[in-house]
Parts: sequence; structure tokens; C-alpha cells
Amino acid sequence: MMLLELFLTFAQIGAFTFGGGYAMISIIEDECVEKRKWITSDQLSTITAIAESTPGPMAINCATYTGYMQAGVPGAICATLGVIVPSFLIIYLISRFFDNFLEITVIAKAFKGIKVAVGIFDCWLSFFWWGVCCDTIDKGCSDVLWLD
Amino acid sequence: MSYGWISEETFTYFVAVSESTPGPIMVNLATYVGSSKGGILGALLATAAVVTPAFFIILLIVTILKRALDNLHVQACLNGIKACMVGIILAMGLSMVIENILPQMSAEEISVDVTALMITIILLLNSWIYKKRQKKVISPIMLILTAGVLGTILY
Repeated sequence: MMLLELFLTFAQIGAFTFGGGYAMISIIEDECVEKRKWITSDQLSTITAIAESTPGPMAINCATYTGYMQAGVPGAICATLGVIVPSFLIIYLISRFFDNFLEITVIAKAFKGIKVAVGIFDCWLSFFWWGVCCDTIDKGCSDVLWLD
Repeated sequence: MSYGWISEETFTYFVAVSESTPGPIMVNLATYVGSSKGGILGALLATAAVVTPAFFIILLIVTILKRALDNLHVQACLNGIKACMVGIILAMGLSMVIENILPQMSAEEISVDVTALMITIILLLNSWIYKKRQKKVISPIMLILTAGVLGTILY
């Protein structure tokens, strides 16, 4: 069932991205491009470029786009909901039951470790895209600079 | 804030929590503010409000403006943005890595966060070995879990 798969995949992406933005893109790259072949790297970098230039959280933009490409409007809805539901539940529980969430030492320590990983992702993603999109980027540079 | 819903201090706290929990920061923040002001209904409404515009904008672009995307000049713009984006991502990634490893860097003193340096090296080795053995790139989710566990043990 495509819609369920979209929802679950994006729920997984939503549940494991810290730091938002580009960290999420590298997980989408892995789940939707590498593993499931839903979209190509070039499409993902295009949608990221569009997401950058339109308002709203980038993760939502990417989820809506990928969902739409797979299963039309219902797909877009499922993927977008998928990305939101985990973080909604987590934050809702925190706001109800934890007053000093940040003072829980285990979480603070784990987060410090995760921050290191997020930095590495960003570097990895940029090198990866540099390789994959080299042609389009080259073309982009020459288009912008009117080199040819 | 113009509505006087929450104090500056609470806001700072909300942002910090939103940053250290999974998911898009904007969505987290909206849920948090909504929930603290209006319970479950407030949380639902605030989250929906932050998501809906982005959702419809993208839908609009992929349905109605699809042909505009194929336009040569729009393509040129997008390719140019992509080129910048790769640079921005690299700059962000590098500055994050440096900030983690060297939390204090000034002319007088440089302090090295040895634990962060260790985690960085372990993560890099881990993904390198995985790639050698399995012939494919390690899943970022695995790497995040590893980093979280390493953080709790080493810090």
C-alpha cells in the first residue's frame, strides 16, 4: 500500500532528524532516493532549491513534493502528515509532562552526541550532491555567469 | 512578542527544546506554543497553521506551475540556486563540526572538546568500515542512533 508506505517512511524520517533542515535532507536522500528510488538525487536537489526559495519548513516542502510524485494529492497528504506526527506527539507529551526537559542529563548527553553526527551529515550531503549534480551545477554556474 | 502569549525566557526555553527534539524546528515550536496556550486543540491548530501554507505552495508549484519549472530561464535560476546551496550546506556542516570540536576559539585560548573529537572520529571510521564491508553507504538513521548512544556513554 503506497499511501501507508509513504506515511511510515516519512514518519521515520520525522522521528530521526535533529537540527531540522539539511540534516533531514540527507535522511530523505537515503530513504527515498537510495533505498526506495522514489525520486532521483537531481529531483531532490531541485525541490530543496525550491523549498529554500519558498516559505515554510523545508522538511514539509520535501515531503509534500515526494508524496505528490508517488501518489498524487493523497500521497502528498500522507507524506506531509507522516513528517509531522512524530514530532507533534513528542512535543505534545513534553509540554504536558516535562517541565524541565532540558535538564534530563541522559537526553542532554545524547543530544550532544547527535549534534556531532548532524555536522558530519551536512558535509557528506554537500560532497555527495557536488558529485551527483556536478553537471547541473556547472550548467547553473555558466547560466548565471553567462559563460557560454 | 506582539501577542504577549509567552515571556522571552519561556520562548528561549521552547526554542531550545524544539532544537533538541526530532522533527522540523518550526513545527515543534508551533506545537509547543499551541499546546502551552490552548491544550491539544491549540497544539493541533498551531501545527496545522504552520504546515498548511508550505503544503499548498508546493502543491501549487507541482500541479499548476509544472510547466513553468521546465522553462529554460527558471531551470537556469534553479541550477544557480543549487550551486549556491551545495556551498551553503558545506559551510554549515563544516562550521558545525568545528564548533562541536572547538567550542571556544579565540586569540587567547583554544579549548578542544576531546569527547566530540572522539565521537567524530568513531562515526567517520564507522561509516568508512561499513562502506568497505557492505559496499553501500551507512544509513543516516543508524549513524544518529550510534551518535546518541556514544554521547550518553562518553559525555
